[in-house]
Parts: sequence; structure tokens; C-alpha cells
Amino acid sequence: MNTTKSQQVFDIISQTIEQHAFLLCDLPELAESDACPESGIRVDISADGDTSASMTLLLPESVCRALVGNLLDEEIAIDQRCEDSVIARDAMGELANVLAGTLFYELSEDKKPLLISTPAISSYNESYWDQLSSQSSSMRLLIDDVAMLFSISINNESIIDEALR
Amino acid sequence: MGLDILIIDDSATARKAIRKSVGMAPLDIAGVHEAAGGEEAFDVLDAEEIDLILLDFHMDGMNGGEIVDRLIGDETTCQIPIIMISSDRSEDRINELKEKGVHDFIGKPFKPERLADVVKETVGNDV
Repeated sequence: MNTTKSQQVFDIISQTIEQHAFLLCDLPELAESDACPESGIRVDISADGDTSASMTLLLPESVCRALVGNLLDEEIAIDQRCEDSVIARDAMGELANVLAGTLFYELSEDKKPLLISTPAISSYNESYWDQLSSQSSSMRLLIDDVAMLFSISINNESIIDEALR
Repeated sequence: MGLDILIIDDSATARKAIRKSVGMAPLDIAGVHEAAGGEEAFDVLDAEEIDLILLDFHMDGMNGGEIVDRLIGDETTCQIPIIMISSDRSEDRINELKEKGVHDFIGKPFKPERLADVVKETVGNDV
């Protein structure tokens, strides 16, 4: 683990969200609070090749709604949960796909092709948020004052430094 | 005369993001068409005069490489320039696709200015 790589992860996430979502909300920033384990969408994505990698995103409802608005100029019905929304699932899957493609490539040592899986989309609950946030591979990011949780490991090793957790 | 562009991507979000980028790029565009996969793309190509294809690589069903093979192998579509747009940035794969006939590659995420530059390099600066 080193801070340079951790900072690189954070920079890539910020840049990806900014460019891909044509950012209308605030840029992500590191969160200090443990707050906000509300429900939302969980996206898991992995890659195999000379390097193996995995990434998990926990995106609270309000973050999903903000990103769907930015990406698609559409709104999810107020009485519909994001996990039940086709457009929210597609948008979060595509965002994870772009993040994973960029991160796995930039962080792999040899820049060899990796076979990236289709994003697996589900929901998360408070206990899973707590479980993931306690792991060394995770970091919390704030978007519009709402925390999202991000976890990444390359070759089963965390690359998130304590200073950025 | 403006360009007719076909976006092939299985994600509605990606198609919308690319369409938005095309709209923001300083290009003369006559029309933007979309297809969620290979078969739908060939239906559009049968019906429309397409000047440029923006193609994703990783798709369910026919992937981008298979679509390139079919485009290149068909005399009615082999002259249409193809730009691959993908989050997969591996140089080996990009080179392999360029050898097949893909004109250029844009990594996701990208800015509209980058799209405009690549499109101009691919189809000429007069668009």
C-alpha cells in the first residue's frame, strides 16, 4: 500500500465521475464521517488476466438519483427504489464499468488486457455497509454531502492507504 | 453536408452520454442513430446512410470485435470509418482492432473535445 496509489485511485474516481457524468453535482471528496448507511445500489465488478482485480461500489439512493439525473437527464420516480429502476441499474453499471476499466488498467503493473466482468447489481443493507467500511480496501467519498462507499483490491491486496480511509 | 453517426453500445446510459458528447462537440452533425447491439446496428445500416460508427467493445451478444469483423467483411459497410469507444484501454486489444480496420480508439470517460478531434482526424477536418 502507498499513498501515491491511493491518491491515484481517488483522482481517477473524481476525474471519471466529472467527465462521464458531465458533473452537475459536487466533485467527490473524501469523507470523514461514518454516517449515511442508507439503502441503495451495490455494484460488484471484477477482472481476470495476468492481474486479478475486484471493485465494489455502494451508492446510496440520493447519489444514484443525482448521477442518473446527470447522466441521463431523467428522474427516477419518487416512489421507486433505485434497485428496481432499469435506468438506475444501467447507469450505475455503466459508471462502474468505466471506473473499473480505468482503474484496473491504470493500476495494473503490466497494462495487459484484463477480462472485465459484467457489473453485478444488487442492493445493500446497513450491516453490509458497516462490514465493507471496516475493511482496509474501502474508502468513503462524499458526493453532494452524501457518502458513497468504494472498495478496490488488486491481486487480493488492498491499495487504499490508511491516510485516505 | 453533416455526418450521420451510428452509436452502438448495449448501455442506454453510454449511448446517451456519447450522444450528449456528440451534441457538445464542434461538429457538423446531420443525424445521430443508436443501436443496442449488433443485429440492431445492421438494421440501422440497412435503412440509413451512415458516415461514421462509434462502437463499444464489451457488449452482451455480439461484441465489438465481432461487429467489426462483420462490418469489414460486408462490401456495403466496409468503407464506413469505425471509432471504438471503450473503458478497456489495453494496448494489445487496441492494436488488434486497428489491424482489423478500426480507425481510432477513445477511452471512456472522455471529453467532447477529444471526440471532436478524433472524429475530425478520422473523417476529415471539414466536418
